[in-house]
Amino acid sequence: MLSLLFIAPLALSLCVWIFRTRTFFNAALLIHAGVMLSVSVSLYLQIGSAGLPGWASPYFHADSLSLFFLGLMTLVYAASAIYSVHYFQHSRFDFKREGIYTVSLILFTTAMAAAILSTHLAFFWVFLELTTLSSAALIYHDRTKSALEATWKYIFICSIGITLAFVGIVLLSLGKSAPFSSAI
Amino acid sequence: MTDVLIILLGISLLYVFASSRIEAYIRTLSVQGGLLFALVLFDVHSVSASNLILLIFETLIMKAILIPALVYWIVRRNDMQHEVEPSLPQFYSTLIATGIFLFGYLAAFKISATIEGIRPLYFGGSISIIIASLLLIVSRTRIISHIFGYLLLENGIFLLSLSIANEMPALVNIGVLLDLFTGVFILALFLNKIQAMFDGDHIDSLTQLKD
Repeated sequence: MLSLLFIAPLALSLCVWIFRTRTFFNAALLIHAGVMLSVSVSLYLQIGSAGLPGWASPYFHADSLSLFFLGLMTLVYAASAIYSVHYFQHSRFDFKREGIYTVSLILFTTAMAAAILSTHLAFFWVFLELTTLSSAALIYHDRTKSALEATWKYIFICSIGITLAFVGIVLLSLGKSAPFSSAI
Repeated sequence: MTDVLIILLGISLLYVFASSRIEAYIRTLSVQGGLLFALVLFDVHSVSASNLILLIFETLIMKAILIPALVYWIVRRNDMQHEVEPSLPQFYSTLIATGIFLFGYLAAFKISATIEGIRPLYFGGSISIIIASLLLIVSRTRIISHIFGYLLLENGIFLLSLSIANEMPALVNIGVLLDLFTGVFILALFLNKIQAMFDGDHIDSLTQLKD
């Protein structure tokens, strides 16, 4: 089931790139929200195997805390996906901006879910960085002066924070005598 | 040799604090990239060939050539002023930066006496560069100089990860990712737009948002 979490957003983003229609953008968001919900429910009920390739399986694991956060996140995401459909019906943007919004939202939630489920600090950090990238595109959605200001401040503060988090990871690895390749 | 290179890295950062021209900042970025490349050549031995190629790409191509060239292109394209406009007088900020270096090396020597596996020059140099770059960010009033502060911070962190590169090459690879993220996203995309939309890159123009 976990592999769906990574395959679905990639496939949907590719489809959004190919089929540039408003109906498809809405459908992609709703389908992705549905996939996320079903993945979290199946993980909660422990239906099916993790389904990840062998090399990736030690790095992602759903324990009870991550399941709680995953459930919370998918519920909020489902609500915002439904609201986005409504939002695009009432405010007309060009297709390019709607496409960027859709892809960014899909990538943002996928990166958040992956960060929640990862058991390895390096993966956790990479996905955290991915959430910064994708949410910056969401903040800049309006293309106004204040949106640009907000995006700049957000990007700068987050990247400094992420950089210092990297220092933290290096120091943790130094403190731990075992090699970095083992999960902390 | 590595000790000399690390001390040169520290001196180049002090040069940034003392100078007020953007060109000096760009030159320092390039020189620091070259110094980090030399450090990789002299000090990193027990990594695989692919990791070594990645490290050389990161230091020589990215840090010494591509990123400074990109910053230079942005400065010329936007026809920016060449003064960095410090909010704290340069003399005082240089003095504080020197204090930071003193503190960094003293702390590193003290820590290395108790914890095994820490090389005091590496550790002290990188911690000092990281803290001094944060000082550079808050003591300059233009967005372009904030970006320089961030790029110098990156160099400090790269130095920190290099000090453990022989044992943990994976960490250095992630550092490369961080650099790509900065280079492509922050630099090229937003600075151009800010310059065009706000008619300048002074941080006082970014005060529209309120609580």
